[in-house]
Amino acid sequence: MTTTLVNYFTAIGIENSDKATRHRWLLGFSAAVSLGLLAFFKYWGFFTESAYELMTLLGIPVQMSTLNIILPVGISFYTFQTMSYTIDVYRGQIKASRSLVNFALYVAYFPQLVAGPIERSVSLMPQIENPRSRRRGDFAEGLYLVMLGLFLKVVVGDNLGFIADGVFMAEPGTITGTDALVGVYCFAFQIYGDFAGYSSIARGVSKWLGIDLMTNFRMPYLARNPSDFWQRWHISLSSWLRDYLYIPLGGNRVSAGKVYRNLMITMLLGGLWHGAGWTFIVWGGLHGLILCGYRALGDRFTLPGRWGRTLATVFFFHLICLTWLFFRADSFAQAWQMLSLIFTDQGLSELSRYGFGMIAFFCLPLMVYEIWLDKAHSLRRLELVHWGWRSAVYCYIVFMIIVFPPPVFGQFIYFQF
Amino acid sequence: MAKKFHDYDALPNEAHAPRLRTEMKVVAVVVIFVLVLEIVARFLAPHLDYDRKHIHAFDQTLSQLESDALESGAPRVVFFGNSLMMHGLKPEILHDELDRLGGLDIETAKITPVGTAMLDWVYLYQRYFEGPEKHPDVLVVGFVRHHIYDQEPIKLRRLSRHFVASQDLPELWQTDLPDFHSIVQSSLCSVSALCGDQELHQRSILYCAVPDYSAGVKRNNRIVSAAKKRHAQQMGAAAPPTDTFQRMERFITACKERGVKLYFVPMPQPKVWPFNPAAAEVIENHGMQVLDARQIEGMDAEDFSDGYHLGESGGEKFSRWLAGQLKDELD
Repeated sequence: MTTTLVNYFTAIGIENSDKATRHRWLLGFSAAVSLGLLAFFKYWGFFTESAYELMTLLGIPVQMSTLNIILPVGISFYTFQTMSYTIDVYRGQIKASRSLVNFALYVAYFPQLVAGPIERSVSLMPQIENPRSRRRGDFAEGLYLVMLGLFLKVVVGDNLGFIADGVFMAEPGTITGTDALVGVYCFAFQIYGDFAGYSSIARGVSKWLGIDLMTNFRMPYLARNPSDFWQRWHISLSSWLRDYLYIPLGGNRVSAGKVYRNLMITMLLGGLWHGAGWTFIVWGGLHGLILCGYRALGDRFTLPGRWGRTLATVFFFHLICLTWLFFRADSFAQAWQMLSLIFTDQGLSELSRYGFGMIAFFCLPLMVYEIWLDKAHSLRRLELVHWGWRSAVYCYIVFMIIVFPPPVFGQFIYFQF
Repeated sequence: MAKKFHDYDALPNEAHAPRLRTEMKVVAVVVIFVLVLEIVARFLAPHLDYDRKHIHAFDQTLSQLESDALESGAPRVVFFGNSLMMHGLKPEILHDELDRLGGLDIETAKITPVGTAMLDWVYLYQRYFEGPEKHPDVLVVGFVRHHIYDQEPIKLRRLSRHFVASQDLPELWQTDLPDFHSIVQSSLCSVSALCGDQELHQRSILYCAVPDYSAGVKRNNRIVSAAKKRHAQQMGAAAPPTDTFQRMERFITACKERGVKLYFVPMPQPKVWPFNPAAAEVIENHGMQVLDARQIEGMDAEDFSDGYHLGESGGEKFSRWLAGQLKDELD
């Protein structure tokens, strides 16, 4: 409520005033309130604990009481969404909404409230404010997106998440490096299935309501380089960070050193956005380093031909998996331990054979389908084939959902963010 | 850097999104597909594994018992429980021992679905033993500690599909499983064989498709459950709640109302296990009896095939012991 009211009235205040100073003050006020709420609810515990640890390390005795704060659902998502609205009004890119009800709906639009996509006001506000019309193809596209989303979440994400949980929960010394590798692969597909599944369902349901939400994922594990990856993974966040952080910092129109600085700041904050923990910050930092490395080396190492592209995709997938290890690990110690196991203690166990088999069983058809889509550079290729083929694909999806539900249904991972 | 930007969301030029009518054909095909799957699942249901075969034969087993008892005029004794009783009791040895002891005219049957516990038994009894002629005269229930206290269902899908009669579903939701997930799942499983037997379909496909599926999934389960226990200990979890036996009370009451004599048999295990006095009290309060088989003379760890179930020699010793007990009780 506070976020909604503050951003609603400050946007109107900005639009009603001609004074640039007043605009800046109002923008600063709304950003301070939005980020302040986010910092309090999400990062208070993390900052106080980190400060306490630092003080203890320095030998300074301190007494700190921690608050047991319940994180409001989706706070990271709606904070960024409302901030983008006020900034867009400040920049003159959109008009401030005069209807509190419409604006509140924009902030709390239920299909994407808790886990995105982070919608831009330029795209969503006009759809809310103007009457919706029936469009040919909305039902078909919505059905496709909901089916795909359920498959990604229930079949891929939750089934592989169960294996990832097993590997990451194992006591030190009880798993091999290959088991650890299987755990990381499983987590890579768990987080993809979980998050892309949610986004897809949100988009599909919105299609049925006559509203278009932005695409959040485009076959991310087929990316060949970091820049390509961030145009395919959590697009609504990466484009938000690009437009409201990276470019205002100077983007790539500044000196080389500053470009690297901007990349690192953007990715570190992107990591922190995901969660209040050092492992998330390291995850962001690793992505920042990969982006900087790619910028420095660039096209010098581009591999030619189809096999070169395939090799680049496989290599980059493993690089992404390395970052997922830090994202999923409970602590640095665990991440390092698993990393060293992967490089020193290879050996197929029953757990790894089972894990590889499950990955192949659940992910191979998905990856083949994604390669087929990527070849046509279209996410909507299935809508254009004969309806009989589409029926066959949906029958496969329904069969998998009914016969292969996970042993334990997992909550959507991004709900916690 | 991506070489060129593609609008992945747009349809190619001159391409048209499918019409609603076309998409309805797709939906119809999917619905028909699910119906066909359901028919196939119903056809396969009695043949999926030993347990399902056994469950589908309950009606036939009880009818046979009824007609045999009518013919001979002997009391009907049903040996009830799970795999412990299934592996432990050898009917032919039991009858042989009864003959050796001077004879006891009884008709017997075994109702022992694998991996079941008190919640399953409450509903199984209500469903399959309903009707005046279906009730046995004596019900001998074999169990160990964790089978009789109140707990979550071991297999909700099987419980809803095979043990709870459709008219008993409201009772299940009100008394035992009031949460939304259980209500939805038990409703679906009650009407659909595809949902009710899903675990078996899944397992049989994954056994074929995934190497080391069985060993891998067991190891994974063990790791996850050990980690959860560790976590609970670290969080300083409270002492486990005291065992309650409300479902056992319901089970005994249902049998008692129909004039069935109940014998509870704490089954042998390689190590003698503690039988909760509160459970014994519930049984005695209802005038039923415990035939304590935890320490059978001459039985040792070698008599167990897998450290839990009785093997050939153990089954023989148990059956002879039980025959002696029944002879004393029923003669």
